[in-house]
Order: sequence, then C-alpha cells, then structure tokens
Amino acid sequence: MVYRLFAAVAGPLEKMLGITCRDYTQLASVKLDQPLSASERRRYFFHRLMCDICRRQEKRLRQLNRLASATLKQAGDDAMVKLDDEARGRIRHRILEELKNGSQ
Amino acid sequence: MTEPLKPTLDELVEHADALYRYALPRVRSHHAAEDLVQETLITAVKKFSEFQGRAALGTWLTGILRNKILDHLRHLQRHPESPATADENSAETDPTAEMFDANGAWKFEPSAGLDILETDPAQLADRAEIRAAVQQCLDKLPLTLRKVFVLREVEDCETDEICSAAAVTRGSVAVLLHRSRQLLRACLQRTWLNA
Repeated sequence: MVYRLFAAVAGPLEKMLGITCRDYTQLASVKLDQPLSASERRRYFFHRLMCDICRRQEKRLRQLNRLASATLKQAGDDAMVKLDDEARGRIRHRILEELKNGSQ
Repeated sequence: MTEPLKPTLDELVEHADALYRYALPRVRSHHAAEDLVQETLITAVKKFSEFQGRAALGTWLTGILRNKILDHLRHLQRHPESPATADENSAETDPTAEMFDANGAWKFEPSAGLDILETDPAQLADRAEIRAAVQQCLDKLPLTLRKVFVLREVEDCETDEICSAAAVTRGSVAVLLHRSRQLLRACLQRTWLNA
C-alpha cells in the first residue's frame, strides 16, 4: 500500500530522472556482470535508498541465478541420466571407424 | 614429464555417460547430446597427442565437449530448428515491460513467493520438485534468452563468448540477460505462488 502511494506520487518524477523501479532493475542486472558507469551508479544508489522492494528483488535475483546454476549443474551429476546400450554401441562403432580410417 | 598413456577405447567410452550428463541440460536434446558426445570422443582420439596429462582425462574431455556445445549453439542460431516468432532483441517486444506500470513502478511485488530462495541453492537443487520447476521455467524462456542465461550463469562465459555462441551483439547481452533473469523470476514466482 505504501509502495503504491509512493509510486503514484513520486513515479512521474522518477520517470523523468531515469530512476524508476524498471530502470533500477535493469541496472541491478547489469551490475551483476560489469561495473556501472558513474551516472548509472548515482541512479542505482539513489533509487536503492528509497525502494526496499527493489532492494529485496535484487537479492532474490542473485539467489535465483545461483539456484538456476546449481540446478543445471546438478542435472549433470544425476547418475540416473545415462546413454542406453544402443547409443554406447553406436559411439563405440563410430570411434572404431575413425581409428580404422585414421590408420589407412 | 612422461607422456600420458593413451586410453583404450573402453576407457574413453566409460566417460560417455558423464559427458552425456554434461551436454543434455545444455542442449536439451537427447539426439544432439549423443552426437556431441560422439564427436567429443572422436576428437579426443584424433588429438590425444595434445593431452599433456596435467588435468584428469575427464576434465580434458569436458573441455572439448564444452567447445563442441558452443559450436552447436552457434550452428543452431544460424540454422534454427524452429522459426523465431519474434525479434527477441527488439525493444518493441520487451517481455518485461508488462511487469511495470506507466511510471516504471512494479505492478506486482517481485519478491512475493520467493522466500524459499533464502535456502542454500545446493540444498534446494537437491529437491526434485525445485529442480523440475526451475527446469520448466528455463525451458519456457525464448531460445536466445535461454542460451544467453545458460552461457553466463552456468558456463561462466565472458561476454565475447556469449556473443559468438548466441550470435548476439555485445550491446544486447546485458539487455538479454536482464530479460532472461526477470522472466525466470516471474515464472518461478507464478509456479510457487500457485502451488
């Protein structure tokens, strides 16, 4: 409720200054990968001071990245996932062919 | 330093399952993953003289496979298996635009339903239902966004590698990462709030 009131009052000004939640979200994402420019840093820190919703959201984003990464890496460790015997046979056959062609 | 012993065919094929497990979540196709494993082992046979034994054989093979996967993704970009339905780089099709009102404020609390993320990610990833939800949401991402996200967050690729593998410009990488992260967040939020 407080956020909605604040957004309604300050929103147009924030939009003019380029420091809306939407702007902040983009800057927070960029900041994960590279340093922000001086003007980007000013906008980022100014909005961050005012908006705890965006501060929380940024923390969630970092956590989400780590979870997605852990999930995909975990999929790589799942011993239940493996090639069937037919596929292994095909691979062996293909390697043998390569070895034969290579020795000719 | 003595040269490493050349592995037998059986020793090489022993690594096939681990390589397959590495490839499958990244290329999302059993057929493509099998082909990539095959190509990796064939390359390993041809180039074994370059293996100096400093790393384990499995690590070396995974390095070869990783490059094959990047080549595969580049090839897919040039010859897509399904036609693109929208220009994902276009500002006009920014899928995150609908998350904000006309003044750029959130329409919906972006962290709602995501308290579970406070748990250690390795512990969360151990839970099958969490893995399934994350995987489903990743699969729903438009192809280019998914590629860019995986290349950055899973493969730890630098920007130049991402540009090359995903055939995107340097300037668009930051935008695409932002969009992929927000879409993933919103998808998981919907999944967990509706659960």
